[in-house]
Amino acid sequence: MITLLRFPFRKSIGYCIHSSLFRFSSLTTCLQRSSSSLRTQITDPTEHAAIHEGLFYTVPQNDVNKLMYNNWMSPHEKNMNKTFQEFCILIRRPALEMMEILKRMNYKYPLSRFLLYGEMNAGKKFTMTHVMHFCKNQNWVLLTVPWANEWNCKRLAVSYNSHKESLFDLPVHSKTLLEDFLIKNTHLIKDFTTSARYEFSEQESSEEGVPLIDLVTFGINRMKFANDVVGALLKELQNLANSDKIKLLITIRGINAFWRKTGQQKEKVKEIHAQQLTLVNQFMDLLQSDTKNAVAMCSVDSWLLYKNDRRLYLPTDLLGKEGIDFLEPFIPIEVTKYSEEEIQKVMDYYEDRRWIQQPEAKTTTGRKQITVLSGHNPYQLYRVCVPL
Amino acid sequence: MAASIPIAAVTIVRGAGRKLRHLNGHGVSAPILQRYFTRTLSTKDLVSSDHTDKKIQRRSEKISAAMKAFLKKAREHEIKVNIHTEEYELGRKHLANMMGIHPDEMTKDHINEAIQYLLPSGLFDKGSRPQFKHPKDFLPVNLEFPFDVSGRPHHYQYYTMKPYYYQMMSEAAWRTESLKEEEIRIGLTGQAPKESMTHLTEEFDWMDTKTLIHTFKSTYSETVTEKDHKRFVEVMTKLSKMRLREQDVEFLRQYGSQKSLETKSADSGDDRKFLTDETGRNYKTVNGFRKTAKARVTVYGEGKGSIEINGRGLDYFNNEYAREQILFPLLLTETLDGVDVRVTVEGGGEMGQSGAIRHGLSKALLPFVSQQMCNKLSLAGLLDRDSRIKERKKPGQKKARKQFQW
Repeated sequence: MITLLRFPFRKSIGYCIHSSLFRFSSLTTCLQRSSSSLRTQITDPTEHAAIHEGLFYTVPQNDVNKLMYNNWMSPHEKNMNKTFQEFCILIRRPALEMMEILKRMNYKYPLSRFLLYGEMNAGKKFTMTHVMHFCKNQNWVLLTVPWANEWNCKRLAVSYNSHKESLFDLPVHSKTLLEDFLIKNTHLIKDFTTSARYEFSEQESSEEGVPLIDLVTFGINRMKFANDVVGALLKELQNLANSDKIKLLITIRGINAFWRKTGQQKEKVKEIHAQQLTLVNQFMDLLQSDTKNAVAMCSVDSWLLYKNDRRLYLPTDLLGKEGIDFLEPFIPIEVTKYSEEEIQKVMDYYEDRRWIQQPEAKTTTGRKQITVLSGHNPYQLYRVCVPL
Repeated sequence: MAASIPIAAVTIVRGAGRKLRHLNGHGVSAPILQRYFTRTLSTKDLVSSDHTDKKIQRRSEKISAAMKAFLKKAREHEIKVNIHTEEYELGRKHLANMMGIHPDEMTKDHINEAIQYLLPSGLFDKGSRPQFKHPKDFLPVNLEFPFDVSGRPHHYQYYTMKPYYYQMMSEAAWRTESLKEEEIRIGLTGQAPKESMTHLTEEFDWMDTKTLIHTFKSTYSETVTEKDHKRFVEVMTKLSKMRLREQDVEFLRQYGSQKSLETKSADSGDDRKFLTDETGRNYKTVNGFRKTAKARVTVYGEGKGSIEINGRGLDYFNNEYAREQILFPLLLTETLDGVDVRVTVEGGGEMGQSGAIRHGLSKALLPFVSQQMCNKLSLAGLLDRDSRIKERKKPGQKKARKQFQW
């Protein structure tokens, strides 16, 4: 709770702090920007409601380190965390919508798929972080795929699958996936054990009743079998979810990578399609399964496409016919660019964090120029404010 | 008492004289200093009248020395002028004789023609070609005595070496001060101003450095520098931005002109016409071009500042510079939040498209903006179609300019 103590939220003190920062702005604008209208003290997303829309909340540093630091955050966000000394998320409508639905959902029905879509850099990733934090506080088991296109592009080892000849394994990628899973969920899966026997090869196999953690560590240690361990893990999680022991949240960022060509090569096979990867097939089976107590949150990203096609952002364009047929029915959630008020709030936050230094940028005319220049795009707003 | 003072004064003065000697280094003779000091301090002088007469005599001697010098200089100048005029007249008569014109009917143009014919020169600088001018054109103006009998100069700023320049500046400063006081008085009491005061809408064009230097040299024979001109502009602009009385406006008109900038094609009536939409909103559609990009821009009045390019926002452009190009006309005309823009653009690359949009935008903004702003836009070059295109590749070279390796 160190982050909270550093910033007292009494109006008078906030005003004093801000009057020194906003020397050049008029009194009325100064009063509007007092710190109490910027943030909430509530760090638990379960308590976030529509009242809190447009406010920032700080994610406690423990959660940041555990959930996000390793695989989820990009270097750009890590830099922001360092410079701002905290990790704040703006509470926006798509996240609130999703959390409302999750709160009221009937978990006895099979898996429901959410699809986040929006223009590039509109904030899909941050809504996902918000929902992940929410699920974490409610003790869900998190299974995250931080960037699905990594399986397509990042050329680490590829091996032939031992069980099916046509499929390809990605041992290193699956190892990172397992490690990530462990870091996030050890405290939740301590007590659970496997329910079936899994044979990885003639010699190696894992018995029934082995604790799940052992299974996962086995996969981490023996990279050769990591991909099979992932499959085993997914089945176990399905069983656990069906028996009402856990609640499962699957996040896949960039799901439209499942229906593209990869850049992976293996000896003579030069063109591998994503459908030929075991990881992809495993996750597709999971998404189409009838597990209860599970939710899949996927996002479609236009960053995967070639440069000329990056204007497209609707799911139909990005997923193609195959993807839509696979994913239907899903719940679409649109993530829009910043509205006028949100931009003002974000710029208030940047001023609060002393990211914007130039006095002209703090005036209303300066802010107008910044809003128009950035085109209401969150990432572009960040880039416009960088030299200021 | 009366006697003690002079003695005390003398002792003080002696000490002061010694100190002064040390300071000067060369050694001012103490008796002279003593005389001067004692003259001012002693009470005897005030009492006796002989001494005062002597005093005035001495002072007038001193001043008349300066006067004498001035007179001498004036006389010398006059002699010089006379010599030059005599020569000029002689030369003029000779020229007239040569040209076959009557000397009375000879004008400056005739003289210039003659000199150009007789002494042709190919020098570029026209000032350094041979000229034949009346001495009053090139010799410095000789003022009258700048000070009176007692030695007090007429002009209250004579000891600044440019009295008339500083007079002008101080007058402007005093006017600003008085206007400020007036404003304060109005603000405090809430009364109406004493005289009718107005803000001027159009800006002033102040005198150039050259014209300023020339005016001061010719009329007052003062040398004014560029720094002085800079200060002049600052002071005058400051004054012109306040609420001015008529007398202030007249004062300012001596040093600058207020007429609006010369108009070009932006004045034509067609460019500044609206078209009305079905919903009653004013709009204007215009084509803009740059390289191979074509933009069709429609600007709607009474908007909130939304920009739409090919169905997407301003982040249609990834390049920040391209976005700034589009913002520039809106910032100049200060219509960022008063106007909606809708654009369809084809062809070209990113920068070409943004240039085309800028061209079309500035043309389309003309009806929504005042005449002076139209002129500003045309001066800024926003209304010109940039005619630069890709240079042709030449045979024998790799590209337009790049040559083969030899």
